[in-house]
Amino acid sequence: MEKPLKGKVTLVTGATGGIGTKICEKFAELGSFVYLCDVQGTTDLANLINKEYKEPRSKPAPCDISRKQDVKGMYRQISDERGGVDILINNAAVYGPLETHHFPQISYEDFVNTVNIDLSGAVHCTLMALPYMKEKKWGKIIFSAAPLSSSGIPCPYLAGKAGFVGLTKYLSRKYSDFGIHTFALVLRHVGTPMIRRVIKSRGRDIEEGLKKMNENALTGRMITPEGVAEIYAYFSLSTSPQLSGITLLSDGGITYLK
Amino acid sequence: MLDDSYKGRNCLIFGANSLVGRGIGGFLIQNHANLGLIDLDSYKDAKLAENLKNHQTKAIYRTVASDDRSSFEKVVEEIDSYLGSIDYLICSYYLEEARTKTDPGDLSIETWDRLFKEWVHNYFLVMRAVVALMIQKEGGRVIFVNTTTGYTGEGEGEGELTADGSIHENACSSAITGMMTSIARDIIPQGVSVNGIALGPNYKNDLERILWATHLWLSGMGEYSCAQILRLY
Repeated sequence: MEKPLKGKVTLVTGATGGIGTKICEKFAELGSFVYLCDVQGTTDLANLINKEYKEPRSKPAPCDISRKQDVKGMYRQISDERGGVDILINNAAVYGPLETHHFPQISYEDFVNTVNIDLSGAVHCTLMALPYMKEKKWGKIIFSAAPLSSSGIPCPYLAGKAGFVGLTKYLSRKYSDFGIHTFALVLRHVGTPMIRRVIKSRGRDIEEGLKKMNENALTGRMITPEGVAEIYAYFSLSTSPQLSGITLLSDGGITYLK
Repeated sequence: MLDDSYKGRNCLIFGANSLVGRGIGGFLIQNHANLGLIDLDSYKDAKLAENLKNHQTKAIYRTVASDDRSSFEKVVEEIDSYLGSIDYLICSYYLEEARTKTDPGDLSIETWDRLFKEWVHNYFLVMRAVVALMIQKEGGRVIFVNTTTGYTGEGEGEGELTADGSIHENACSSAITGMMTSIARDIIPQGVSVNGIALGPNYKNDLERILWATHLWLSGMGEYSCAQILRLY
């Protein structure tokens, strides 16, 4: 049976992170060719994915998405090799400074460095993806977002990730008629290495910290990277021309109900 | 991505005669789920009945008396006994009439009482009867079908003011949103997920998106979403 995303090119930013890796694996499994974008090396991940299939399903796309010229270079490479990006998954994020992240102690440089990756990087990638998607009259743009609520999330990270909520709505309104559909999954805690680093930076025992986070959720546990990848795949496979501009809060009820 | 995820699963639909209830029922039957169908009126969907014959699934249809606790409890117990359990509950009752434009001056107290009972009271009663059984067993998943007006308290486009003639829809639908949110907080820790779908003005032509949202909530992909409502403008 033909894979449902065969012929589609997916670009995943933050490919080597806990969530990014699972997204790349899932989209390759569905038949898409996946460009693995990260500042860190992605050759190992590409090899890991490609050995599962007869033909290559992935390729490293090393890039610092906060730098416009780097993003342009990456898109040139993709354009030359595969035409363009059909599915863009804006997943890359840095948490920002782990120690001094409270306002006003946080430095301007730390703020800018974080939002340049978390928000501007996604805007760079999105702007570069749109012309090809418009031409093809088909595109999916996905964001790993955060809720419009503070609850202890540092300001640069939240400025970046909550910005996706508005971006998702705006792009949907503007580009749905071109067959370009947007979706944001709004997350709090996900069982990733990043969350373990955050717990450790606060001087807490990691396992105890994870247990406490799980207890804070109505669901008693947090969403997994595999669960995130499953939802992104489900959206990408949707055929409804009107399914766009959706923001789905998947936080275990932490943000508004606890 | 459906695989056999609904095979052997049992779903109770309250509002089986509504357009949305019929659509979701047909979708679940095609994917091999067993159905318990409830409404206030006699069974209207001949096509679904034919579908039931063509698929090897179990189905049972019952009417309930509006705003009658014992009627809801009896019917739900009977369906639970027939199907063996209830894994999913879809509350999709009564949308078409509530969306008829009615100005406050034209809304009699008697009409309001009937709408309020049939929509809000009955949602509460079916939830109470079904969720108690779900908690006793291994949990379950619940979907409230509602209107965007009820979710936002506003009109049906983002930032629009309330539509004319929707006093009854605004009040009932918002009440359901509030009820759902509060119930979610109580029952999610007991293994029952609760989420919603808010329909836009053109929902009659929008079954594809409604079914997309239904599968999102029922499949487990929405397991970490709590009292979230997908707005389908």
